Amino acid sequence: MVFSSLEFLFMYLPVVLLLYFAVPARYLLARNIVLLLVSLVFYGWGEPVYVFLMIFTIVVSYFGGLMVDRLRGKPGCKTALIITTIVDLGLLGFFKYYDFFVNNLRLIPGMDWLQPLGLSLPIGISFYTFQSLSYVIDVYRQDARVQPNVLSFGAYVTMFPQLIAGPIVRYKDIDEQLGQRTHSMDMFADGIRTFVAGLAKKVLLANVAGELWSSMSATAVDQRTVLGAWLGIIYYSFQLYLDFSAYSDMAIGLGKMLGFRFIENFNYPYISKSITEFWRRWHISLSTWFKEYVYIPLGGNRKGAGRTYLNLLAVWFLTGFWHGANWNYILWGLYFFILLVVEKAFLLKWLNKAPAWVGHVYSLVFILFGWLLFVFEDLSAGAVWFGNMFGVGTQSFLSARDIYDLLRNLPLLAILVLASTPLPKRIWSKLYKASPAMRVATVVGCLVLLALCTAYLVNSSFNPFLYLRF
Amino acid sequence: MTKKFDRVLHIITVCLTVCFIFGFAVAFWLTPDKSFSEQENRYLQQLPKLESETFLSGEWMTEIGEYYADQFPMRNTFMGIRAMSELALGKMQNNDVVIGSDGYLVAREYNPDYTTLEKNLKALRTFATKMEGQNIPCTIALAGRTVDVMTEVLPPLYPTDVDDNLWKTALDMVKDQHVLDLRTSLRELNQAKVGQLYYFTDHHWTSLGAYYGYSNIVESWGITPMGLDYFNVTQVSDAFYGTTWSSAGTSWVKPDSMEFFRYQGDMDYTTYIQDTGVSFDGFYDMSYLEQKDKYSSFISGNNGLVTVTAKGEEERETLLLIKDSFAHSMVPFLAIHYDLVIVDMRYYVNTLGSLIEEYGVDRALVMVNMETLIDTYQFGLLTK
Repeated sequence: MVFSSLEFLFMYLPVVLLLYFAVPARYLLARNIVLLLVSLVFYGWGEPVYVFLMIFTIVVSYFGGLMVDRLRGKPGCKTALIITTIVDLGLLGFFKYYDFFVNNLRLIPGMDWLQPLGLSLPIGISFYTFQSLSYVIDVYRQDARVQPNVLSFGAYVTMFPQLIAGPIVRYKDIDEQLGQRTHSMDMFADGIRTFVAGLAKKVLLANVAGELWSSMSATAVDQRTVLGAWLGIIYYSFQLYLDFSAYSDMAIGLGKMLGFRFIENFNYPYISKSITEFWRRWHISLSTWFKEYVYIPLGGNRKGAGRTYLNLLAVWFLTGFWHGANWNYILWGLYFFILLVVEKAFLLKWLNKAPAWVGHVYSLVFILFGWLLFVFEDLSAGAVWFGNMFGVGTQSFLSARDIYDLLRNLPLLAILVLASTPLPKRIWSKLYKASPAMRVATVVGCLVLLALCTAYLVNSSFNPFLYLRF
Repeated sequence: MTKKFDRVLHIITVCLTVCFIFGFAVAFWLTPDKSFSEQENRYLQQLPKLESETFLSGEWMTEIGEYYADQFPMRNTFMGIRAMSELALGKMQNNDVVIGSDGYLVAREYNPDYTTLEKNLKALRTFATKMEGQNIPCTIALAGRTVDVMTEVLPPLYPTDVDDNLWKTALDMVKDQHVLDLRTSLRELNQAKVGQLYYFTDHHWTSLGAYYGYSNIVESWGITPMGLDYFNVTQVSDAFYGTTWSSAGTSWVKPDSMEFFRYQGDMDYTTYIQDTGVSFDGFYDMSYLEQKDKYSSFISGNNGLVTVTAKGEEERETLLLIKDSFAHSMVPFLAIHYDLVIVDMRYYVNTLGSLIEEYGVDRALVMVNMETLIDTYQFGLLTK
C-alpha cells in the first residue's frame, strides 16, 4: 500500500489509529503488537506471499541478535553475526540480484544453461534487510541492547511508516522508543502537519512533475529538441527529489502520530555547492548506513590514502548496486565515486574559493547528469538523451510545443524550485512564531491541502512511488 | 496565554483532520455504490469478491484501490476542485483537455503515434486498391478533430505544428488514393463563420459539421448535395455534456445544444442493428436523448454492423461505409442517396468479402477522424 492512496487515507489509517489508541498507553507492548500486526497487513496489501519472507528475515535476525548476545566473549559470537548477515544478505541477493547475475553470466559462451527466474522484487526488501542487519551489528558492537521480545523487534522492522521506502532507521535510534515513548496531542498535531505537507509534496508536486517528465520522455526520437531534453530531465529531478523526500516526510509524520521520532532523511540536497555536500543532504539514512556498516569497518580513512579510495570505491559501488540490479545503477554509483574523489583531491578547495554560484551551477549540472544514468535503465537510451541535451540528434533547439508548455507551467516550475529550497519552511517558521494569525492559517491550510490532495487522488490514477522498486 | 492558544490550535488541527479522514471513511461505506458513471460514460468498479486466488495474487487489493477511487463520496465535486486548481495555476488544461476560448473544450494531442498511423493507412491503402480491382470505387475521407479545425479557439502560442505535421504525413501516405481532406475544407468553412461545426463539450462534429462533410464527399462523386434549406433543423437537447467535458472536470461550463437535420420522409428508412437484432424507423434512437451519452442517438451508437435501407420499392445503389462515430451523424444525409452497409472495425470481427457480395456493394467510403488512425491499429482485417 502507498500513503498517497485513497484506501490508505480513508480505510487503513483510520482503522490503525482506532486500534492503536484503543490500547491504553501504559500497555506499550500491546501497542507494539498492534503496530506489528497492522504493518504486516500494510506490507501484505501489495505482496501477500512475500510477508512470509519478511517474517523469516525478522525471525533470523532476532535469533541472530540473541545468539550474538548470549555468546558474547566467546568465538561463536562472531560466527553468529556472520551467519545472520549471510542469511539476510543472501535473501536480498537472491530475490533482487539473481536474474541480473544470471543474465550477465549467460553472455559467457557455454553458460547459457542458466535460466533467469523472473521473480518479482519483494517490496521494500532493500530497506528491511538493511534495518535487520543494523540490529544484529549494533548488538554485536554493543551499540544497542539485545531485544528480548520478538514482537517488539518485529514492530521495529515492519513499522509501516518507514517499511517500504525509509528512512532506514538504525536499531540503536529506535531501541529506547520501543520500550518507552510518549504520545501527546502536540506531537500528534505536529505529526499531522508533517504528514499532510509530505502528502501535498507527493500528490500536488511530485506526481505533476512526473507527468510532465513522462510526457516529454515519450517524445519520439526524431521530434526531440535541446530545450525539451533539458526540461525533461529537470522535471524528473524535481519528481525524484519531491517524491522521495515526501515519502520520508510522511513517514516521519506518521511516526510522530504514533509516538516515534525518526531521523530526517533529506536536507534540501539541491541547494548544495558540491557533490560532497549533496551526498550529506540526500538520502541521509542510506549514506549513514553505508558509512557506519561498510566504510568505517573497512578502515575508513585511517589506513592511508590508497586504502581510503578503495573503501570509497566499495561504498559507492554498493550504493549504486543497492538502488537496482542493473548496470546503470552501478555506473551511477561509480559516477559519484569519481566526482567525490576529484572533489577530495583538489576541486573542493578550489570551489571553496570560487563564488558560491559556481558551486551551485556545477553541482546541479552534475546531479542532473547523474539522474540521466539513474532514470535510463537502457544505457544507450540514456546516451541518446544526453546527446539531445547538446544538440546531437535533435530536430531543433526548441519547438513551439516546448515554449507553450514551458510558459503554461512556469507557475508550477516556480513552486517546484521553491519547494526544493528551505525558504518556504523558514518563512513559515518565522511567521508561525511571530503571528497568531499564521498559526490559525496553518490549521486551515492543513485541511485545505488535505482536501486538495484528496481531489487529485480521486481524479488521478497516475500515482506511482518511484522508490518502491528499490 | 500563547501556550494555551497553541494547545487549542493543536486540538483543533487534530479534530478537523481526524473528522475529515473518519468522516469520508464512514461516508464511503454508507453511501450506496453506483454501477455506472454518466459523467464519465463508463462502468464503475464494484466491491470485489474476496477469493483466495485473487487475494494471493494481490489482484483483490488492486481492485479495492479502484473501488475506492470510483465510488468515493462527492467524486464529481473533487474532480471539479482538481480542475479549478489546475486552471488557477495557469495550466490552461486539465486531464489533457485544453480550455479554449468561447467555451470550447478541446482534447490535446501530445505525441501522435506515427507507427499506428502508418499501419492503419497502409491497411486502408490495400483495401482501397482491392476495391478498385473489383470495380467498386473507394473514397477515404479524413475528418479533423476539434484541435485540427477550430484552431482559433486554442490558447495563444498553442503548438499547432504537431497536428500540421501529423496531417501532412497522413495525407502523403494515401496520396495515390481518392482522398478527401475534410480538415482543410472544414477549416475554410469555419473561417467563413458558417456556423458551429464542432460541439463545445464533445469531441464530435455537430450535425452542421457532418452536413458539410457529406457535401464534400458526395460532390466528389458528382452528386449534387441537398441544400441546407432542404432540412428542418430541430433542437433535440439543450443540455448535452459530451466526452471532453467529462475529462476536463469543468462542471461549470455551459452545455451544448444538439440538433437533428430532419427532412420530409426521413422516417421512411429502416435502421437495422445486426449486433443486437434491433431495428427501428428513421435514424434516431431517441432513448439516448434521456441519457448523458446523447450523441449515441444517431443510429444507436457504436455497433459492428448496421444497415440503413429505404422502405420504398425503388432499387437504390448500396454504399459500404467503413467508419468511426464521426460518421454516425452523417448517416441521415448519406441515406438520401444510398442504401448503407455500415461497418465499424472496432466491433466487427469478420472479413468483408461475403458482406460485399451479399449486399451488392456499388461504392465504398472510409469515413474516419484522425484520432481513429492514431489510436489503435484496427484496419488489419480490411486487407484479408
